[in-house]
Amino acid sequence: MEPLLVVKNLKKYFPLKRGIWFGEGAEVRAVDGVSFEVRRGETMGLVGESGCGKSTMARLILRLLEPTAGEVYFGKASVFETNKEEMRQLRRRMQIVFQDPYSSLDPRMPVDEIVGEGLTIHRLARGKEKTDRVVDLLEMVGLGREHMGRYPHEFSGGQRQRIGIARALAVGPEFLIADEPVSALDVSIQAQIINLFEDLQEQLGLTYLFIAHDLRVVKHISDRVAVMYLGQIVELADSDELYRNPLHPYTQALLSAIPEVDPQSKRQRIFLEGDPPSPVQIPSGCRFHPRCPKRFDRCDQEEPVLREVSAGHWVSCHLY
Amino acid sequence: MRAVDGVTLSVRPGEMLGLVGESGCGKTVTALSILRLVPDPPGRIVGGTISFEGRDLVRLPEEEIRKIRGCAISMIFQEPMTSLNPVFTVGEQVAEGIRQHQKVSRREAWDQAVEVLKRVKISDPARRAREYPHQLSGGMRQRVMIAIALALRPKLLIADEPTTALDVTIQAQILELLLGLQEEMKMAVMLITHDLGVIAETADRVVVMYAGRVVEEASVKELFDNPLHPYTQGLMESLPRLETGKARRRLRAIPGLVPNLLELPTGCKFAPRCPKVVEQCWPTEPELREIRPGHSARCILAG
Amino acid sequence: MTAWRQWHLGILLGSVLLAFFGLIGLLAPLLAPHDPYQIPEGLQAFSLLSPRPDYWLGTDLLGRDLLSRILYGARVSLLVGVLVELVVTPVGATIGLFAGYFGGRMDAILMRITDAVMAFPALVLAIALTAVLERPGLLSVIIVLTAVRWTTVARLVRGQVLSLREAEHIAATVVLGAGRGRIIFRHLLPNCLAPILVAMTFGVASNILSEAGLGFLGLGVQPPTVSWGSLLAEGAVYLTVKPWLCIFPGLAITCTVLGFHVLGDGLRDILDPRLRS
Repeated sequence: MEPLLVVKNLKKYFPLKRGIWFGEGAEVRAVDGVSFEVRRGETMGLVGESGCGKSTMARLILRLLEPTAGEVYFGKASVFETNKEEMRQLRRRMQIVFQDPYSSLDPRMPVDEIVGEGLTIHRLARGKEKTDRVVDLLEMVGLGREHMGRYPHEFSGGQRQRIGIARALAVGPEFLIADEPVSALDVSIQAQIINLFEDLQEQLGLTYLFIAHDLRVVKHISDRVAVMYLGQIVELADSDELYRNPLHPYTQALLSAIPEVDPQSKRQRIFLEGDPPSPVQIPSGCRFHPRCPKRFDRCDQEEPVLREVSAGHWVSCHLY
Repeated sequence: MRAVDGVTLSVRPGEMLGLVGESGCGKTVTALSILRLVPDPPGRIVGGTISFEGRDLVRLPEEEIRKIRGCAISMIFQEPMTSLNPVFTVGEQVAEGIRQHQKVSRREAWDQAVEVLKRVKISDPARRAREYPHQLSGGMRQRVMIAIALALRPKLLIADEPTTALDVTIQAQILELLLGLQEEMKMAVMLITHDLGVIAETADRVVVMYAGRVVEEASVKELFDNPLHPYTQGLMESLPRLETGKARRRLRAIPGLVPNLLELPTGCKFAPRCPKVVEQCWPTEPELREIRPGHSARCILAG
Repeated sequence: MTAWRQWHLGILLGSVLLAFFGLIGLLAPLLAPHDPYQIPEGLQAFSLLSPRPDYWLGTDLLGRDLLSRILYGARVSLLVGVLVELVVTPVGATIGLFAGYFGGRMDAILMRITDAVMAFPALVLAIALTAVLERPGLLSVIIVLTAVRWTTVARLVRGQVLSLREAEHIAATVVLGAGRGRIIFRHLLPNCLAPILVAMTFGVASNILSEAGLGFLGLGVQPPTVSWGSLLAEGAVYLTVKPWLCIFPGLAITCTVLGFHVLGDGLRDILDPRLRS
């Protein structure tokens, strides 16, 4: 299948402190050499713990941030090389739904203006036509005409997330990045929103990049999953394959740490030592080695590369 | 607004009781009420009793309750970042709790504090004790919070979403630690969470809350094998499963919104979202009934 | 529930106070029982009278009715307060918006200028300006206050914009393809308006106080023009013997300032969309 999105060796370093006079300050390597593809029509899951760089990835792909190095291709366009007008056109094709249902909607705009803003920006509709479009969009996400004039604070978290989705869909995108779209919601509401994402994908033929820290959610919604650790992808495989046969010790630990909703199950749990190191002081060699239960002498010397060890299953570990 | 309405529950010595429910279901208010920490105004305990080792905490004078807080009953919170004071070292904060309840010298309190930090498996506790909260990671801070709570060997520990703000790998460490400490210290733990997975892995008994009420109570095995209340059933079915091989199945979401406590229906509070609702659900609220030994539910259809 | 009643009370009390003083100033020529400037014939008989039925608040050294002078003084004091704020707010807001939105070097330069102006004593500026304009007056007061007062608004708006800029709804708007203009005028500015409005009410109060202070030092408006500040200055000489000459203008200042503050607090509450429904 042809890829819709290609990410090539993407890097983003944030300077941590500029020296007051001059000299090099430390930097945060939020994304440190990430490459992957998203195929048209699939859902690519991106999991990792806080600080692994997954949200920075989202912002880079949408060019909300400029990269330190690397390329992103969307269709035929090279995202970082487009001019202003080309970028504006590109933005119609890729959209995002954010995590925080509170800060992601402008508190001073009524819902119809929030949802209709994309239509206005790209001059897609106006007047009565615009109103009709907004009603359609609201209905598509499970809201209705009666919600149009209300303000964000009048809605619950789940409803706000629906509004955010409608806003993204207004410009008719092919590709949607969902950055932790359900992690702020209650369990019973999470399921509603996940179902909505799946329904919309079916109806509109959307391609998703679904970012989350909850492996249960990512497993459920994704066709393929990439696992990130400290700014890099450590494993990438089909969703079922990854959960059935995790290769990287980090993925194994991550999977075993999910509490099982079955008091009977007695799984072997792998406990990781310590906390993820800060992306300012990245360990030498394999960046996971200080916490890895399977480390051996090569691991702190040499950095492993992401290799395809079986069809479609990529892992970055010296064990394979 | 009735945040908590007629909640009856019990924690037995040495038991891990799970209290599960979604935001606004009253689980935190219930916990805070036990230690009389609900700010008044606006909060008020208008009725009921909280009996702890034969004494009614609701009627105890403020001074007596202060002696119980942090000593016989202590509490840990969700946010380890804001629960610690940024201008004191963690050792000082643990020692302060000890000195508040025991007549010991500064030196002794410090030594005890280091000892407690060791018990919560903080490596190199003597050095860590001299560090400030911002120098510690989130998981480490939560360990310090647990150390503060456990310094005086409480009989009951209330843990309000202790792992929600943490990453999964750290969550697993903290839950393991709590389970180990409970065993070792023979204390009762009331674990408040929205995560059924956490409940399944840690609790002995479970209380499910909805809209300020207990809707189901059972042993953990019984609850997961045989959930009786449609809300409990809905919660379990709305969770994505991890098992592989099956074709992607749609999640069975609970329809509707998390209830607004100001606009609750007169009958069963879950009726507006319940897939099994019948006419009898609307006029009066069902009682919490024991359907089988040790398993009760607030639903007319149960049993 | 209590919050609602509080803002009702605040807005009500503030508006009533301000409407009262505003009307007084506006209708001063109709309301004033005597001519505020005219020195009466037979001065001795009228000089420094205590309050009495035909001179409610007494008279000053030159026998002029204090009540009439306070009524006319309201015009100058309120005019200075409001006018300065109306000039200063758009200027300060624009500077703050630019600094906050563009950040980096722009922010550094604009904020250092702001810091410099804030650090510069307004009093020295007032004295210097008096020397340049040869004599102090209404114009010099307005210029001095305008020159220093924009910094407050600039800092406020910059802070607002800095935190707003990180909000996800701004990022979402960028992703929708919005240009700078839309982000600034449709999203950043509307979200700053409420705090700006609140700051304006406090600003007017502060201007009135500053004008009084300058007037008290003799750097304010000059006779025959009267303001509350110049009345205070005149009255101060007789503070121990005829205290009402200070008390009544002082009371007018206090009540007006209080009115603006109470109104500002009320506005802050009702302009929060979370409290509106």
